[in-house]
Amino acid sequence: MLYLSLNPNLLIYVASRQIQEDEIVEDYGKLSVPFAVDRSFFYQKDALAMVTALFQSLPHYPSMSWEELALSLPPTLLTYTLSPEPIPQWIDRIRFGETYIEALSKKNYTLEKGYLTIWYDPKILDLFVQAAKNCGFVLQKITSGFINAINAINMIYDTKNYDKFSLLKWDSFYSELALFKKNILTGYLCFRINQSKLLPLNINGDIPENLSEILDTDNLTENLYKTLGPIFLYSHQVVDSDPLEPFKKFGFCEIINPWTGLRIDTKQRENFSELSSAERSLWTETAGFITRESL
Amino acid sequence: MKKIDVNLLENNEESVSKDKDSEILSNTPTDQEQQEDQNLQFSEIPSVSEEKLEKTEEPSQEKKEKEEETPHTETIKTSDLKRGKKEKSTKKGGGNSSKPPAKKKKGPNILFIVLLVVIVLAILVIFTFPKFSALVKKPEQVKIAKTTEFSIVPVDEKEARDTLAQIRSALEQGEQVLPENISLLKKQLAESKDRLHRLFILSDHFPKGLFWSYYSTSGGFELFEVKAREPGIFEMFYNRVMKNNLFNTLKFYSYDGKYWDSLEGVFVGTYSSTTPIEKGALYSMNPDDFIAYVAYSAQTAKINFTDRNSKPGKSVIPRTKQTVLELTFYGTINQLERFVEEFSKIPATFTVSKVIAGRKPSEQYPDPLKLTLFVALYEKM
Repeated sequence: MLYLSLNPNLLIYVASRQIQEDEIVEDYGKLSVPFAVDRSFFYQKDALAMVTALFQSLPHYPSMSWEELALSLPPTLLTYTLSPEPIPQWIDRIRFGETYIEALSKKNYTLEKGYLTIWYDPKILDLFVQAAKNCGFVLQKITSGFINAINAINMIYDTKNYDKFSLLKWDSFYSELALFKKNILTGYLCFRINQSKLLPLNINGDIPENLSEILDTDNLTENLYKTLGPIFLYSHQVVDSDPLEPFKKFGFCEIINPWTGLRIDTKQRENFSELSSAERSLWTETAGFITRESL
Repeated sequence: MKKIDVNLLENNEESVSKDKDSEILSNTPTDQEQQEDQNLQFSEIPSVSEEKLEKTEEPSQEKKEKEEETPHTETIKTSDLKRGKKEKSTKKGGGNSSKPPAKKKKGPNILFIVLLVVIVLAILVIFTFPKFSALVKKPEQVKIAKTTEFSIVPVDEKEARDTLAQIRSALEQGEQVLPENISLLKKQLAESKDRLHRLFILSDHFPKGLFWSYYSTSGGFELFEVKAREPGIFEMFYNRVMKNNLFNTLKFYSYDGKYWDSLEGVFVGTYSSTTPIEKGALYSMNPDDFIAYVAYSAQTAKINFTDRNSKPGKSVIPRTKQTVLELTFYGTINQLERFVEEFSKIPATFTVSKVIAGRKPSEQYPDPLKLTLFVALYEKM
């Protein structure tokens, strides 16, 4: 199985082989994405050709016959809402507008408390399915990258003892934040950082009223930690300096090690020593696909 | 925390455009159904057809044979994670298998022992350490020494004493302290000048294909209601103005939740006034003369001018009266900018408390823009 996480700058992949009941990670890596990952791109004429070319640049392992793909997408292509009740259609129409709503489909998922609704454009999903097919792959699953990350911390860490905690994706394009109270997902925020200015793009669920102020201040890291409690972090950008460095000074800011509990081929393990903790966390969304063996 | 198992390729999707509210609500699973769904998630392999299931069972024997050939594998160990009982689960289909037991868990016995040790240590600390108050160092009281006054000018000398008196007298005469309300008005005048020019500074950064209406108030905040011809234009505008530090904060709220892909939304920004407070006298002018000057400025810039709603206001400056005017102009952005240059030079004391600009929804370029200014004019009584 080849697991992929698509984000505006990077395509992260993990290749695994099924041996009996176990899944062994055989390879992992990252590729640059040569196009803008937003809706308008996928309506261009050459979009299918470009996505096909990207999939073709993935490593092929003929001896292992990996033909199945699972793909996670960024918040530029999916819209989320957390709500106590399923959202009636008339609200959808107001929110998205008459024209845009016609292009969308949605799915409701029952959470422990309330509902998660995901809106997506089926044309874009079809394009990914077709691009995979062009390369000899079968696309089995498309999901949200951030939800994969939520599932990853669920599998790796015992979070039951925390009254509250948060999960933060630190990204140069679209950062995402999930808030949990008593181990239940209660809030979601997508924001953008531009020259140290913070711009909330999608706020929903139970978010503190002063969150905008918290995000606007210079002491962002400190304020997040004080307001939201322990932070589980991962990065989705490759830069010279460690983007998660400002968080490291706090008592509980855990940079997610997505490889915890996974069985990895010995040869690939050797490469880990060269990666920083922030670099290792790049695979959080991708490794969130894989159910770990019990610890 | 329950695993959120999302697969957008599954067939049970709802097409928003076709569904009705009642259908959506009826799709909400009952408790019993939810329970059944959860049981299914734990026992079945989703997203794989029956044929594939058969296929996957067949090679399982081969896999057993292959296992001997498998390269040596290791699982990453995390020292602070406690291993529990091993529980195998299905993997194929993108991780749809059951949730493994919690990690980083420590048993209740260990917790109890740790708690006991902490209590014992706490008791030892209480009985062996000196009282807390004894540990706090009291600040020493500062003794103020009595020193004799001294001056750089030897006060004993008559000549020097006279010189000092003259200097003091000169300083006191030259000191001009403005009343607080005049200072406030001068500050408002400076901010008002900034407010008048902001629209034109910002308009230099409007990308092609951006349709906007602008609203600015004396609260130092600005609001743009924007529409775009194509996706990506809002992001371009945001990047341009932020690059030039034209806002302290700027937030974008899209009407449809598509962020920068939106075609409609609102920017809300704040900025700090940078225009210095001007020194000098304040002029007095009656409303009729002021309107005449405004009309002249509009004529110079070749724009249409209509004055509306002239009413008296409450002046904060003693012995002055205030008139609030709502002035409306129509022209291109360049013509309006030229008008504002002339308007700023009118020798009167006035502040602009609100600026509204834009076109009606039915109008579009090259129809003229509408600019409305709310002006407070001060006149000496």
